[in-house]
Amino acid sequence: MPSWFGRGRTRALLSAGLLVGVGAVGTSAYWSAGTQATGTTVQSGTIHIDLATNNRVKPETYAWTALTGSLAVAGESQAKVLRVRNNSIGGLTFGYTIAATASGTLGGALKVTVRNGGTVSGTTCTGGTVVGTANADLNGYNGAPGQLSSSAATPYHDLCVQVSLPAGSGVTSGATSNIAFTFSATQVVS
Amino acid sequence: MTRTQRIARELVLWTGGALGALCLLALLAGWLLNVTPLVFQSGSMSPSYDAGALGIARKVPASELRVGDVVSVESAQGGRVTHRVVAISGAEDGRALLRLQGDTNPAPDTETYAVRTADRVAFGVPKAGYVLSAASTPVGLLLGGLLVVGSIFLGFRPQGPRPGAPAGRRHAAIAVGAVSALTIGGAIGASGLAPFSPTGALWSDSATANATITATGGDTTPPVLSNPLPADGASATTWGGLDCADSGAGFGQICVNATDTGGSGVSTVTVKLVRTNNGVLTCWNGTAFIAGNGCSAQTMLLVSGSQYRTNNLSAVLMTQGGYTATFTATDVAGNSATLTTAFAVQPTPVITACVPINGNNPYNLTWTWAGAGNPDSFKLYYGGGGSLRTPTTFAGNVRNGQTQSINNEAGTFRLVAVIGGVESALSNPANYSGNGNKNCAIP
Repeated sequence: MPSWFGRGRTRALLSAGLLVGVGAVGTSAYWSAGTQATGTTVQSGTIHIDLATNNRVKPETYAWTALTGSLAVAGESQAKVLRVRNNSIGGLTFGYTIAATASGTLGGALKVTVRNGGTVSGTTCTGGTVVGTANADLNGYNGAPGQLSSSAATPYHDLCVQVSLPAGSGVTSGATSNIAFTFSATQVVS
Repeated sequence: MTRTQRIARELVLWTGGALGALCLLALLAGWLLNVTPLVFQSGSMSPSYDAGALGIARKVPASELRVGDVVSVESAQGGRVTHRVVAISGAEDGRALLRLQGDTNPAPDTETYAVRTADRVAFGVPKAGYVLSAASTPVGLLLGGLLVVGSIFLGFRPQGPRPGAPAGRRHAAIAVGAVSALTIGGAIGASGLAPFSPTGALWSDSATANATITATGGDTTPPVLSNPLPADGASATTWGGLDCADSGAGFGQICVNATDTGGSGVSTVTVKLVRTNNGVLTCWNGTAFIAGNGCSAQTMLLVSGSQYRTNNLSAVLMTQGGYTATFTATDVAGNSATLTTAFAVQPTPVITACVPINGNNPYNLTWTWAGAGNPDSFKLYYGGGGSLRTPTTFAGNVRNGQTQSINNEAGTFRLVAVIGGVESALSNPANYSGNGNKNCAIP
């Protein structure tokens, strides 16, 4: 029986290299990803972290008018809930961090407590999980609430943010501070 | 064997052989040339490398990296990130600190990567990553395995009766060989020596919430300043006759009282001291009087109770001139109040002669002034019978002058010097009288 190109034994032996290859790919993916998922997944879509009702503005600046207000120099706090949503296109998970800044002398005196899943009770936040440190300096605050998956049933976190001005801060009446909470999301690949 | 069977056999053998060779070549290239294929798992590097692209990267030392290179590094979480270098700085131990950013990301990654080497992407093959991804799924692995088993079976199957090699032993050798190859590959992958790696070209996004907080309430009442010493309008020949003797630091200081009714309490009291003399403006900078009026206000010290005083003033400093002291008191809440007083260190004129001028009724006065240079002006007060006439002003550089017409009146002339709007003490009197025949005498 004639063959077009040898008897095929060389090619058959070479094909065994495929086993070496797929074995290497499969296990390296397994070990590097550190999860049970075999192989790699390729994701398409776009990432969007959205605040309140804003939709897929990138990057987004949200005027949080609900938090804008006044605090008595004698010591006062206020608390508002902000919804942080994974509005990404395609099933995409991200982890995100919060970084806050506050300007001026008043900004240096303000304290903040962020509770993931917390609710407003009067002028304070209760329940949920404290993100970062409770009653931390607002200017320079950092926190990592965790991950959000756009395919989750509730692809959002309700963050209760409590801003307070302690008594005896020495801040003068009429002082103002511009405060900014920046939410930075980075895609998480499993 | 039919023609169809033969074509199928060749197809399986060629596919298996080619893919197997490719795998072996990739492994060899990876080890010998430090070349790594990367699968882009997401699209943050599009359009350069879309999701699913297969990137070919070569391991290079950190010193060869440049801004703009697309590199793959390990993140702190243990995964791989493939982004573009936007900044490089050297670390203390020879590693490079890389700031990476995905092309479609609005900001660099939050993590700074410290690396000695990095896999620099040389080029990418669109979509090819999907093939590699698919091959490493369970289904892909199964198909690959079947292909290999099929190839070996077809390649080694006797194509005619060949004596001497028992079929059973050959089949066992095929199975053992396949399992061995898979085991070797698995061991290579598990040991981390495999040059293949999936990479997350991670997306990022950010959002910022802005708000403004205003402090309200508290003390809104400014402090009250009172009882400045020297008092407003005070004048004396020397500083010793003006200063605040209660200063607690001996003589020679300026004092003021400051109280705060708003509740927060007085925080600071300052004074800005400006002097004018012979038309020259000077101000106190805390240690000396310097030209101009640009000195900053000097902090005053608490004496006791609500009284504050200056520090370091002295008769040597407080020479002839008209002074303006502007006090500012600030409370803890930041409310402030100011109080301005004027006083002068200047000699009092002395009337030396008063001569009636017959006919026109005025008198001619002559006086002396012991100061240096001239005051801004002299002012003559006079009047009789309980009424004071409008003062007559003479220029500061004259030492004599005439009064207005005065008839049928008896009264007293007294002269003052004026510097900085502050009048000196009244001079000695010169008594005048007469209707027709005038008389004037210095007692």
